[in-house]
Amino acid sequence: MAQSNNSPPVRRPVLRKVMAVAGALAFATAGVGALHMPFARSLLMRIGGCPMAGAHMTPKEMENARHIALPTERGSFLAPARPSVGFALDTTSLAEVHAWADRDKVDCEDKHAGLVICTNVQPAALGLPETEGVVDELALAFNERLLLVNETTMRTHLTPQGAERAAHAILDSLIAKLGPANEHVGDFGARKLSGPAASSISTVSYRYTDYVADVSAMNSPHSGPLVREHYMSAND
Amino acid sequence: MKTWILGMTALTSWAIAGCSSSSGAPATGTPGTGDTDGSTTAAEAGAVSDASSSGDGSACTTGTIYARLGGHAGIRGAVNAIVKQELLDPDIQTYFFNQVAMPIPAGHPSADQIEQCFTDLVAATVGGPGESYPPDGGVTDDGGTFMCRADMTQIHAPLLISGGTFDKFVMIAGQVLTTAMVCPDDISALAGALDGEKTAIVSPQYADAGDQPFPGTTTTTDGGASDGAIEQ
Repeated sequence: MAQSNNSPPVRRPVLRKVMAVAGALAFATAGVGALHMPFARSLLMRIGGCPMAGAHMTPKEMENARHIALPTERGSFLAPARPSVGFALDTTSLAEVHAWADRDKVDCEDKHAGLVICTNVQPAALGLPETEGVVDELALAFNERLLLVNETTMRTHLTPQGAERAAHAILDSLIAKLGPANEHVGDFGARKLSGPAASSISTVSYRYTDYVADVSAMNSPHSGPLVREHYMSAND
Repeated sequence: MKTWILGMTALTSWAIAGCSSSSGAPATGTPGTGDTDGSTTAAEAGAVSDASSSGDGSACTTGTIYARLGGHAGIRGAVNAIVKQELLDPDIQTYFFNQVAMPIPAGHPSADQIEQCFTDLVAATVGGPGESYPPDGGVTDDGGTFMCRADMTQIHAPLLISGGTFDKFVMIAGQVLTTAMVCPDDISALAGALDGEKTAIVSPQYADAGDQPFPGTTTTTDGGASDGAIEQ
């Protein structure tokens, strides 16, 4: 701001203070913004994540949510295996996920304590075959001991053929480890996924005393054919 | 049809606004899906009566939507089942933060109260005999009385819901109803209803943003079709 030759001398100190404050604010804003850039996110995660993100949820409340729903979701038998995507339920730690994201250069962010969201994850980074396709969003939720208990993936804006290929690859893997699903509706076929949203839905569910898994596909009116996986520990 | 559309949209919008799994009376009825290994099948979507199952298809052309959903109890069961599945999603559950906090913050409804409102709204809009919304005097349980609200925009605006989050919510609801063998035409009606109210539920500045937990950002999603194997 230019100093007017007509400004009384008494205003100059005030103007300097205003400019100093404005400059500090601008610097802080730029710094906060920089911390949220992809290259700096690992640093942000190490210092505890964004303090403004998801302020309402903590691992405690996330666990409350999981336990509210669990009683009606559990099956009657122990799972022969508990497959998930890239990580192990009740075993993988938050620190291990952070290390993986750094090592494999995956774009992940701690949305709030105990919730990591990763985007545009290549199948190889998760140990998956190419046929399962890129994961647009990977959500990883941790309990109060910071162990993974809940995981979802979303693959969106697929072609019907791409959704069919990804879904069948996922289902074949689950069937190999768990056998047929408890519930199975729809064929996850390209023709079905080309149709109207409501009639395009295919879904399978596995329910055990210690494990829950769901895979769904749908032709979303806004996101096109999409595939969602959900894997969750049913342990207390 | 329009009131049905509004009602079913309110069904899911109330869920996303703060509905959580109910601690109230469980719905009656049995799942309409097969259970191949004898294990307990998913949730209370089974409150949809056998009469509403798409089974051989003939049941889907008889009676009213209210009857096909199993009346008040069946609708309550569907609400419970949908909300539980939404609550299990790591993104969607962040919008239910008041209902999963212990204790629930003062001034906010309990899960049971939200679901009572929700059920009354849907039951009334599909013309259930004796059903009304908002219920006179609100809904009351051991936790007190909550006055049900009807303004979708007012309810959802503070939640900053993105278009992607809305789409995921609809998908999960559709998954639950499909598993429960709800008639395809009824699911179509519900999907259309939800889509019709999307502008009231999704915050305009977040309309193009992807699925995200609360509070979200305005980051847009990458568009374009993919063959699923290689992101283009």
